[in-house]
Amino acid sequence: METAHVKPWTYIGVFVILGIVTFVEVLVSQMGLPPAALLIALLAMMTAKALLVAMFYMHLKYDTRTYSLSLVLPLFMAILLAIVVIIASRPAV
Amino acid sequence: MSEAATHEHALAEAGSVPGVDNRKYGVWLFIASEVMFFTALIGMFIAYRGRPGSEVYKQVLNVPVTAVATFLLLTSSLAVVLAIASIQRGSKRGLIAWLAVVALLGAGFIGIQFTEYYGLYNEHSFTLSSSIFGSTFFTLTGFHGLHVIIGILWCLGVLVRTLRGGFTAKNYQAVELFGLYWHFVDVVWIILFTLIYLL
Repeated sequence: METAHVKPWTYIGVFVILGIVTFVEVLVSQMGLPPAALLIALLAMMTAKALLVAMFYMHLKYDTRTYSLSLVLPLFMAILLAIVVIIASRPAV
Repeated sequence: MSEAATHEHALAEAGSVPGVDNRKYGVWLFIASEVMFFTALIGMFIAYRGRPGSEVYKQVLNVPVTAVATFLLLTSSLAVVLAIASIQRGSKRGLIAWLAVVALLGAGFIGIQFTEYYGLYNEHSFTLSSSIFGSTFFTLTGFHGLHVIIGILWCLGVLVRTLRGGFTAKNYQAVELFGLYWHFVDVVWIILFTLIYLL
């Protein structure tokens, strides 16, 4: 089963975006923003970068949706797991 | 995929889903299990921030140097997809060159991480056992580093197979499967860099 032939310039374009977003992330982290604003900004940029790698480099954009589902469903469970771990680790009052 | 090809494929591999390659699907399921693994460790790291032992780490972490390491890993992901694009065009020389770049960049990342660990241990006494927070930090980043090392070894294995004439423009799935793993390791670092070094 052949993988989609994506043009190299698409990959290079994604790489440039990843680089720029990483640079902006570092700048934003040094700006002294309020914690809530910093959290939202950095999480948004981190998610955007992860999605770009998953969709273009890992070919989820071009492949069957089955691969995406095999990742999305466990990711949902994993996030629930992380939330439980964080709540359960809070110091006893 | 045409109906005939779909039917043929279904006959060839009983139980398979049309459009889904079983080996590729297997790697995706493996990645799903790794997502569970890393999310548990990330949860622990987040849970123990703000606890005794964590106040020092923000001062001792070198964000600019780690940003360089991040760029190395991002560049290595580009090198992987360019390696696959090369063999899709039938260029074995391109595949070899880009795989060598991936291995070198991965080694550079590990080198930077090793230097960071050395500094944390010897100059700041921030160790695996210095505090519960130290345990979560080194466990999380250490397991990621281990995954990078495994990826480098896998890359070298694919490189050797290429040198022995193992891949053509029609047969390069092993390169693609390695690429999936490597990109996953990159995505994990994208998350760790933000959560550990920037937030």
